[in-house]
Amino acid sequence: MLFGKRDPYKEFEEAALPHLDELYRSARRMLRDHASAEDVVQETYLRAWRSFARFEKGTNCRAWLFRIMVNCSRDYWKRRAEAAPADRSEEILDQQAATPSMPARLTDPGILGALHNVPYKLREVIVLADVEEFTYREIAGLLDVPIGTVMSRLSRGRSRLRELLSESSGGRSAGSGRGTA
Amino acid sequence: MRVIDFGEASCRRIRDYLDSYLSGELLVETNLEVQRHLQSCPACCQEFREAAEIRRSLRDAARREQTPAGLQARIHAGIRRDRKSRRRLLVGMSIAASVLVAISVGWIATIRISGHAPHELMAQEMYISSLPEFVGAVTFLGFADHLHCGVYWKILQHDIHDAEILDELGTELAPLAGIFREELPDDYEIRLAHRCKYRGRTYIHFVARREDDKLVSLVLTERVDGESFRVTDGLLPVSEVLGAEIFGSSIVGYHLAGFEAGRYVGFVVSDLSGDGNLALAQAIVPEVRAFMSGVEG
Repeated sequence: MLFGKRDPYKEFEEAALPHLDELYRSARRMLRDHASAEDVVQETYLRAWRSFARFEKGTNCRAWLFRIMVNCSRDYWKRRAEAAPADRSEEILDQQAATPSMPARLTDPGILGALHNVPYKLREVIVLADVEEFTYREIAGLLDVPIGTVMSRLSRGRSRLRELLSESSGGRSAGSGRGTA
Repeated sequence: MRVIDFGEASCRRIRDYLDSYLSGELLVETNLEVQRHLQSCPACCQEFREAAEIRRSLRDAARREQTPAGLQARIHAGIRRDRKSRRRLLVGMSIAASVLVAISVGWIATIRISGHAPHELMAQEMYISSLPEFVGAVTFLGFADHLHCGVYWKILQHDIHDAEILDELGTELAPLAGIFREELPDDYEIRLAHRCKYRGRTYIHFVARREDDKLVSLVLTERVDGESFRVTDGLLPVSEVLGAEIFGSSIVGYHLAGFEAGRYVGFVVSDLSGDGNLALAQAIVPEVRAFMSGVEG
């Protein structure tokens, strides 16, 4: 049939839904709580569906979805920051401390709790690099920043995370056993 | 481990590399340099182990996160609501347009729709029917669809959303809108993207409009019985771009640039100048031909 029409929503589902778990877990870490992450992931899929016509088939759907999610999360975080008192953790952007001692044992609540106290812009890069394992180049594309900025934020973010882990354990063990955040 | 005292400067340099080393982002030579250093420097090795352990623990902890059970269903529901509301909007606009047309036919004999159109529906159809006296049968298709949907059908006042284009054309053909948009002059915006049936033919039709109501159409339809500009209409090409022949024609107020794309025939029709319309076609035609060669029949 001339110009036969496939169901675009079916194609969208096949391309986009397999990435739901990754998008959710990253949004959860960036925004710190379940409800915000759910809102942002729903908004991400709605925006993605509306612009699916522009998505080039065969290109990296995961990176495309993450780019949308990163933008949604930032909008969300900004709105929340405007509505709430200033978050002190956001102010500690350039602090460079001597290498702190690490807890003897890392637990899920310990490390995720520490991550949540890393400033947003640094936390965002840590999640993309260390959890989702995007390359520096991919992250630079997702965030629209130079690769040098990605490297610098990642380095500062990891240092800050280590400091927080050390603070939370008083330089000793943060606890034992694994749990969920 | 064979311990070597590298000196503070060397250790500082290696520690600067550790983040990129952890991420696998170093060049091969630097990577080897870091590896060699770590093999012989207990302090840096300890630093690296701790950083790697934090990274691994963080990745594993974050990946243990469970996606809430109902989230996928809520995503489906949200998109379904969005599609419905957009369809309702389109249906509402179509009904409003139909009512307007009915009123127009009954009560207002002449509505000025654009600066170039005949004034009433019957006259519009009669005008289109008269065109084969002046242009060839293939060329006629492009003029007729441009006049029918673009000039006379006044639905071009709102921005068309990507989701509407996708709903109208499907994923296979929707990218044509991007090709068209890319080559249009900056002050034109796509206001119509649809498949339509007119006088027994099926068309894919995009219309872009400028503030002052100037219109440009990109029209595509399947060739029937081997029709062509050369044989059917007796035309010779006025231009050739990347192996694509472009044929020209005009009627009062409108210029057309026609091209063949495999099993399809296409047209760029506008009220731009003849040269302006041809220049636009020269930009669009190679891209459209390349795209259509990948479209299944």
